[in-house]
Amino acid sequence: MKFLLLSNVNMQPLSASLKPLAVECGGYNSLLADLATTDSPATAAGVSHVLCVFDTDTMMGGALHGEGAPEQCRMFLDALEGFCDRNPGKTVIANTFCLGSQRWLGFADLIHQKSLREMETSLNGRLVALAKTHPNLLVFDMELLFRRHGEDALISNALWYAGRIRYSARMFEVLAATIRQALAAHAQKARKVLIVDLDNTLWGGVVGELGATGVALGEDGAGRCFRDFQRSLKAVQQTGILLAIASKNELADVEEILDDNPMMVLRREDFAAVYANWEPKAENIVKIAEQLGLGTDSFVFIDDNPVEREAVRKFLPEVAVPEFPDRIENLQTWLLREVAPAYFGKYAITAEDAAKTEQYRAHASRQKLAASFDLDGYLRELNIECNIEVDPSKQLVRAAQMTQKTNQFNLTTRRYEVTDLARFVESSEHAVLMLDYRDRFGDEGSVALAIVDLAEGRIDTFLTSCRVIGRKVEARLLDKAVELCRDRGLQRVIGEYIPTRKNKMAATFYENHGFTPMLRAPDGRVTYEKPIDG
Amino acid sequence: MDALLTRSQSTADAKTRAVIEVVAKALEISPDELGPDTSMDDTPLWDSVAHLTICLEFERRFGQSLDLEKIFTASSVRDLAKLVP
Repeated sequence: MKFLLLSNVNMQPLSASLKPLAVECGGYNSLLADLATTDSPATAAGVSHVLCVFDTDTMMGGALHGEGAPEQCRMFLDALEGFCDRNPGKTVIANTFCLGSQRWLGFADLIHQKSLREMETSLNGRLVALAKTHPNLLVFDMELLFRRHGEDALISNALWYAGRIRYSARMFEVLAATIRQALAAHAQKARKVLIVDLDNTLWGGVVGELGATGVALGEDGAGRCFRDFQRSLKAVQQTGILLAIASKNELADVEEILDDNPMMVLRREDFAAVYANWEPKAENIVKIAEQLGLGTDSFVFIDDNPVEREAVRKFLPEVAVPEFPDRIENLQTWLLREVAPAYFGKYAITAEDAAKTEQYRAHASRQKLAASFDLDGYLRELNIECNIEVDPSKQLVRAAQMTQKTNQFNLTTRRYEVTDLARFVESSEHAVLMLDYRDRFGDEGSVALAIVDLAEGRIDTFLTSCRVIGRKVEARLLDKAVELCRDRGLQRVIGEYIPTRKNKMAATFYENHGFTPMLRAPDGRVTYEKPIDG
Repeated sequence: MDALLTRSQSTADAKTRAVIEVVAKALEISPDELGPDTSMDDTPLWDSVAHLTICLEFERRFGQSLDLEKIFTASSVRDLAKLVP
């Protein structure tokens, strides 16, 4: 990775703050020219990231004092758009427009026709629109940095007049930290799980001593600190982070407060895993990792107790363990200003992120049920509902993806493109069967696929996603395939098994479902036949 | 009296040493190459651009920014040491 830093002022000190990243500085005030021209240093093949960190006051030119329109800002936006269009392989990072607090119009600025606030808003509107349409453009909110740390701490008038350096030493550190977070978010390096302690973390006091409704948790006083903290944890969860509990408590006490304390914002269903016992927390964290099927290097652990924090750091150094705030009134701001940006930064948040906890809980609940029931009882308990769609013309991408990615329960491992699937769906000689699955724990979507050659009565492709193996849904799909052949007036159905390194688990599928092997080829292929009874 | 003098002397030494570290870091050289008398005039690396880096490093280290006049006039380790809070 090689970075090029462009600006309209002297931004050289930022490259030092960004070490050990390899950041080269463009020429002084080369921002516009380097973005606009087609053979500038920014277009060089070796440059992977272009950082555009600019000073808005300077870019405003005379408009800052009421003279004319912010022409340079508009030129910058044009140049930025062109550059992002022409260089889709380069990541461009830019700050939002952010004016200093000085206003020549004073109080009148808000409603005046030359309002600076309005210019800033409209420029940012265009910048954000560019970011929405250009996946290679990453924008970070400069105003937030000023709100957080204050203009006086971040701007240096002395350095400005001494050498066109706009910012203080503090600001260069803040900018470097923000750019690092933006890069991590863009690279999708966010951690996935936040493990929380309970007593004096999610509420004040010890539930084992005070009881489920005796702890400090409510709308007033100290209890409000914890309730607000829970609200912000819930918000973080909505960005696709799983919450889990590791607490030294009796499980019954914990379940009682999760279910019965009316002031709890977080409920049992908000946690992907709950471990309340007297085992060391590091052990419980490892169990949570096993249950969720995620590595502990994607975990963050928060606990008010420094001894517990130290123990987790020692035994599981890959788990991130931030220091806990000294004062409970700072819990909420600590989580949202420090913990979340440092570990859970995401640049784009999808609908799936919001539903992630539910997915993992469903997975865990199915596992639990499987452990406690015999297979048939388990399957009955699941309330499985399958829907088989024939020739699903709107799901061709998913169908092609299934033929490309399914290796284990795949009888013939024939890989098809979307265009192949489109051909099968249109042709009356072929039928494509897609099975959608849901049970009482959730919707798994399309999980099984068959392609039947109706001219030959041959099952060309038959596969099932590993997610639902063992739930006997493949029998339903096979029945449907046979039914289609019967409707065509065929007397028999042919099935094939082509062995690969990975599909051994499907080897006896046809034999187990009433097919008879007719032909065994030297390479291991088996052709089966099943007569269709009228 | 002597004790007081010694203490103020050692504080001055500590400030000078701290400034030497600041200048060395900004110029990316070893502190051994610098002394209390080092100045812009006898150090080719310490040009006007490097001077701004030194001022920023000073601000970072001591938590105090320099005003414009001091940026222009403080041009030696000794000058800067006097400005350490």
